[in-house]
Amino acid sequence: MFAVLEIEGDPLTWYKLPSAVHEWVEAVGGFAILALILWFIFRLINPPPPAQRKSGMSAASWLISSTVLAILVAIVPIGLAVIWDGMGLTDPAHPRPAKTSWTRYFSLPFHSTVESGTPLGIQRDYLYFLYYVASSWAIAAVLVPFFMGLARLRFRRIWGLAKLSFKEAIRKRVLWGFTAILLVFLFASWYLPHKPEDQVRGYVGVVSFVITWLLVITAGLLACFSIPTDLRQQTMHTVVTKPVERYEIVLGRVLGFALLMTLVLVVMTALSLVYIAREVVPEAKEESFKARIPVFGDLKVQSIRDGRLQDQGKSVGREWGLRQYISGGVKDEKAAWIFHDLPNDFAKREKVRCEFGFDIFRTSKGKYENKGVQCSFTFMNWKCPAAASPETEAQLSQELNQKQSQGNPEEVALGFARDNGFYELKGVEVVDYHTLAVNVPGILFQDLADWKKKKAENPNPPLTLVVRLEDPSQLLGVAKYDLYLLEDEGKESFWKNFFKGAVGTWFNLCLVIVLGVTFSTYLSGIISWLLTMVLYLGGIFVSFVKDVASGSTSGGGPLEAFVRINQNLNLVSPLDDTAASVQLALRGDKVLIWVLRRILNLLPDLERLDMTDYVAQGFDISLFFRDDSLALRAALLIAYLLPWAVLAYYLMRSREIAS
Amino acid sequence: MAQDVIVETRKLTKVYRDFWGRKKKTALNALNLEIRRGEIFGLLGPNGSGKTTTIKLLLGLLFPTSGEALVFGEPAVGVAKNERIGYLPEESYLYRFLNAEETLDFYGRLFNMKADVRNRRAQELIEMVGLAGDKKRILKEYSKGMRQRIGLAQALINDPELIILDEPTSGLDPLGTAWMKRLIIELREKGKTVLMCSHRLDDVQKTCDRIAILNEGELQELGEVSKLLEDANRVEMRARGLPVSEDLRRDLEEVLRRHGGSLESFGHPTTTMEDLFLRIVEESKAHPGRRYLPAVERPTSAPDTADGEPAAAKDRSSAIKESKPV
Repeated sequence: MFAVLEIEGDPLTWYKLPSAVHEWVEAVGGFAILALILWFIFRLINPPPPAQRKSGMSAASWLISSTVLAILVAIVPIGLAVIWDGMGLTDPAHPRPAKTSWTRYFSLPFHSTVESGTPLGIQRDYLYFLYYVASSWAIAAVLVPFFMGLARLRFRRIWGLAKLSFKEAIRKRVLWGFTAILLVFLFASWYLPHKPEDQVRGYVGVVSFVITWLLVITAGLLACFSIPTDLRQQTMHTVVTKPVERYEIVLGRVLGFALLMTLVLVVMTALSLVYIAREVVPEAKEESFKARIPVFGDLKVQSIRDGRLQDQGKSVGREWGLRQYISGGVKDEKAAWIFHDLPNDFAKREKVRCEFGFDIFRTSKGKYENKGVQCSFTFMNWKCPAAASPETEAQLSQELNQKQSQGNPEEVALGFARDNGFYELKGVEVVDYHTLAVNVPGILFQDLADWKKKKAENPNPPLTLVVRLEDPSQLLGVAKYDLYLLEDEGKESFWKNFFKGAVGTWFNLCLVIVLGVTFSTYLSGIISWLLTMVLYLGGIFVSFVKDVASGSTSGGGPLEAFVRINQNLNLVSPLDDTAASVQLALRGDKVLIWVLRRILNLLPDLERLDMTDYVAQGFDISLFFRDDSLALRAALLIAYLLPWAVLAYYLMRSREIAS
Repeated sequence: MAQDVIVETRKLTKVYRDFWGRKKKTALNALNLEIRRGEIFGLLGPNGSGKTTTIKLLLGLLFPTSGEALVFGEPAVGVAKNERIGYLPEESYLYRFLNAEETLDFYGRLFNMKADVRNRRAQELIEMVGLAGDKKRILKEYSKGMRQRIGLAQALINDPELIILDEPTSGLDPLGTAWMKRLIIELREKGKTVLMCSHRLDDVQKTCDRIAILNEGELQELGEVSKLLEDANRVEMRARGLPVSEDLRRDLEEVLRRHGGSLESFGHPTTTMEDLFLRIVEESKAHPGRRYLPAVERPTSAPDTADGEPAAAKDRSSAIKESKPV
């Protein structure tokens, strides 16, 4: 059994929303400033005729409205921070101290989220504040005419245009392409791996992959070619000469295609669910035909590197860099999961299941071949002083061992846990590629309600779980999401979770449709299609692009990598800095990385929108309240698509239909 | 802008430029035009003269380079004026996957019409254009003439005050052309204003009140049709009940010489090809199963009948009556 979520990067959380909005204002504001500068230059070169100038709003009213709206835009992150604080929505890892000044809210716009810790100190902060103000104003200046345009829209016309798009797709027999999914239903089982416990994972992965790509490609083609075809065939002329706002044409297309794709997605998801449910074997059902609700903790790893104890695990050269390794038989090397908050429900339980799946890196075989390794699990609640001190932890462990040797080990351990908040399991066998479980006694969570009331005064988290590898000459690989406490397993069903996972595909479709229609308002169908697919594929590889843009990839940037390939050097070999080609490559990489950082804002984060892994591994997708919920992902999607939607408005408004 | 002026252009200019902003062509140069309420206004000119560009500028499909175009007193680029306009393009650019009812329902929806009003109006227009029997067929299956008719129906869906027709008789047979011309005149009688763009000069001559002639983007002529076509140097007379003879010719020459004029032509007038065609088709509908007879088989010609029907027509009638149906 192996049910592990491979999540790269921090999850989306509600308490990060104020700072996320701040980042959004900075990022989108930069593009808005650029757009305004280009627009001013264009107007200077090509002033519109007087009649056209008269038809828009006056410069004075635009400036005043923009300034008022800019104040609102700038205040939103601050306002959200105030509200979040009032509601107690703060980062559990960094709780707000009991007494703080209200002025801390205004420090938010003074610090850029792009760079921090600059040598210029306060001067740079003022510059960033000015940039923040300019971004807010630019966003407002762009939004004012947009909102005025929105006020003229009528849903009846948009619905008429949406129905037209819907009918067009159906009558042009676009839906026939989806019959390709039948090939999966008929033949997928021939090619998928036969390990019984992996069956659901395999089937979910394949159907999600096929459905996503079938729908994304179809939606992209429909969205990208619809308006250009109308323009070429001049059917657009008879529409635009009616009292139709141009943006209604855009919205009608988006709505029509979105509705059609939603309908197809629902049908295909239902058929896929029937297909999976019919074929599932008992082992797979036990493994991942469920919807677990995990509670994750923050991971802190300590290991001895370069002769001293460091707050970082070791690397063994494996590709998935998020796993860190600790050595066996070394007391100081450990992995600690800190749970900053726990569900109230835990206090009522007799035991809480803790599931985990680690990686084992063996430096020797011999007696360890085909066997697991021994690990110890130490659970400490907020009452336990050992949570903050390794020496106290060792003392308590010794004390517990002594007491257990004198009485019933199980009863002694429970009593010790009740009195000291300390519980230990030794000699737990851990095997590769398996999801295992231990039970945490509910007695550790008995007074959880009390702890929640006095949370601000008590710095200790409700639970700290420390894992150590006992076997020497081996290494244990751990990642944050490798271990979790199980909040619930039975309440949420697999089929509901499957449909929730399909919402991730729906997010992909909405993204492609909005991008495709936006580009097609000004570009030809094929160019729109290419641009849409470039952004979509960029979104799939956004983590890699982020790594390159942050300079954290081994082997440097693209030009340095090119030099290394040419010189047959590996990723870590030092380069000859005196060579002109190397200097040119390093300088060129700085420019490329600067450009990549700007382009990064244009790429959608598709990893956040994809929830296939949750469904395949049997983890519940939260609708609203938990981390990485559907609501948060929807908010992320809306934040990404909103600037494109505004761009579509201006593109459609400014183009000549008959040119 | 005076109250009865619906469309006005003031030095309206359109210059097409390439991507780099270099001038490619001046499609329209400083056009000054007024179209009054209740008239049929014709826009004429050879290919590339700027007729379609003018219409597109008035409809907001293009933006002017300089000058102004006002429709109902508002800039032509605005959307609000479209509530009162109907437009029939040269080619009927409608969605071919819709049928006639769906097409009119769609365009009616764009005018924010309620469902019952839309349905009623659509049925009225379908009846008016004679497509009641084909309203469920998709437009892809329609002939050119049928598409032109449904195109006209969509142009009238909102009962517009101003109707813009670009080559309305293009592709239509003479029956269709006659029907279209009758309809245009009926629209004027209902108080509508019609702006018509056409290459078919006889259509323009028979329907339009005023015309403008464009060439290479410049306005060459503007005025009422009757005044523009009047030839002040000639006098035309028509007479009934006279045989063509040399004596009559000599007497007429004498009279005209006495008044200082001269005889230019003398003989039977000709009807137009269109009138001939229409008459034959109407007669064939009235008398099914008739056929053309070669001249050798026709009865000999006779003088005009008492009811004034020309002898040639009578010949034809008798030729038609005498043939045997196949």
